[in-house]
Amino acid sequence: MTAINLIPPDVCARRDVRRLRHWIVRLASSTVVVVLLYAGLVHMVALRNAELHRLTGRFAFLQEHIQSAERVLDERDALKQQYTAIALIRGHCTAGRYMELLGDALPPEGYLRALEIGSPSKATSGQEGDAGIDEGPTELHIWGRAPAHQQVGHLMRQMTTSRDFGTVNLVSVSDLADPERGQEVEFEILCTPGGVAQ
Amino acid sequence: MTAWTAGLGLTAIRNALERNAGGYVGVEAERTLLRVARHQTRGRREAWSVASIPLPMESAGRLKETNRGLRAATRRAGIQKGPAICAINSPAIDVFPLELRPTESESLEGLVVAHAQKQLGRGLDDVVLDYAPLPDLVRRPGEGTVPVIAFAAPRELVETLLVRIEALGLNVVRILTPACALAPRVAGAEEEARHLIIDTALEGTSVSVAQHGHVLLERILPWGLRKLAERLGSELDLDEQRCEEFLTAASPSASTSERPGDGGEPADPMEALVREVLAPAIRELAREAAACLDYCDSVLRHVPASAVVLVGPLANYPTLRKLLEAELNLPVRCQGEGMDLRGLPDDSHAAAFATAASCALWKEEASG
Repeated sequence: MTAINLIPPDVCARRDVRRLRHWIVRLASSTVVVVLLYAGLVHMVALRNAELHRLTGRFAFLQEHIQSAERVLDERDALKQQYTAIALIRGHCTAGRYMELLGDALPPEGYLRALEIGSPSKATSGQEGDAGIDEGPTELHIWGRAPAHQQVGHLMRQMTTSRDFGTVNLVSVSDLADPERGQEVEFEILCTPGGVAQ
Repeated sequence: MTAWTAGLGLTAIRNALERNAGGYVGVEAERTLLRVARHQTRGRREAWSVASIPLPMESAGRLKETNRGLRAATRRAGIQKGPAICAINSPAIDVFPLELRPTESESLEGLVVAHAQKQLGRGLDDVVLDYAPLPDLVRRPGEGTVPVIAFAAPRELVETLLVRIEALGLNVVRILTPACALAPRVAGAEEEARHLIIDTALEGTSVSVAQHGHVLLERILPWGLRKLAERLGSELDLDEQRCEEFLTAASPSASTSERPGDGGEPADPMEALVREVLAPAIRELAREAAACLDYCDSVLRHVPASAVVLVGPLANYPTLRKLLEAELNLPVRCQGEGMDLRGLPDDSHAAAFATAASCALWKEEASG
């Protein structure tokens, strides 16, 4: 093979330089693009980092608030227990105690149908913060039945003479015409616990 | 390659870039015409894209417009941008054999330059010179000289064609002569046989002797298809364009119109007239070819020529084949018959684009 080449050497050199320049331009433009992309990426990462720092600060702040709120709730629970203990020490009766007293006061034929213990918080309502604090009942609403009016009078006397009850009012007493039960009366009494002013 | 670029270690990079795995675009260039060919292998199928691109003589102001038109024509032919090997078929290229005796003080290159200056009778500033020593296989044994074939092309021609070809988006990596491109593709090029290769192009006709794929001698004559068409047109008072078409179209009637036993004379009077007009030129071509063979026999090891390989657009004209066969007394192979062109269609393309196709099939690594 006769491998001659009739391209002038200086033309080859010029073409080499031209091609080198072409490659340099390509390389430079590629580098610029890569640098721009990198700068964009760095900027995005910086923005993300700033957002992360901001959210971390906010999280710490909220966690502190949550901890202080938990502390307040714990204190409230402790105070509630203390209030209950104080109320017991003051002699406020519980519902069981009232049931026991009324059971003693009622004649054997009579029986209670309902007992409603009213508390000042329930009466006034709307103050939820004190809902769990036992300050003692303010009134007792009693429904029951007895064989006759005498037994109702007996119950009223027993309650009036007892220190555990304050003012005792008979709200209503009515005869029941029940053929199965005979001549029973139904009564309703409203009273205050002992030591509570009307 | 300058010292500066070589210093940057660009030689290896350039060679790697130019050694294109996808093959080269082959170009046969003349001052007013380019023949372009590209070979592609798609699976097992081999495909060729070929195009003839006329180069208009444009004014400087319309250069961009012209180049745009040329690029569009190349794209239409399915030839994409890429590295190209170009063979210039121009009588302006001087090819001369030298017998040199290099010494320690005088290198072969220095001797070639000195002899080239003597041969050309002027300085080498406006000339591009290259040479190739002939292989040992063809040298006469016992002689101390080194036979060399030197090629000198006008710098202006080379630079002009480079600019025009690069305007097509092609990157020319090597410029050859038609013989250098064709010699390795001649069928049986590796064998001992010596071939005469004739490439008749538009403006010039390359006559060369090749053996073992090497060019032993080449001459580019200053006439081709255009001059023959002009002569035919003026003698027969015909349009030159029509004459060119007549000469390039393969004409079966012309090849079969001879009367048997009539001394090879054609029966068609028109054909006889054409033959009469072209005969002097073809005789001149045969004389040049015979002189080339004689020179090789006198300077190099004597090997008889086995065949003439005829390529170029004029190779399709059967009368040329017959006249050459008669004058040279050698079998003439044409229409790609004597070439290894890897699937280039065996029609008029094979002959017309043989040089461009040979350039496209150039194996860079084989050249060392």
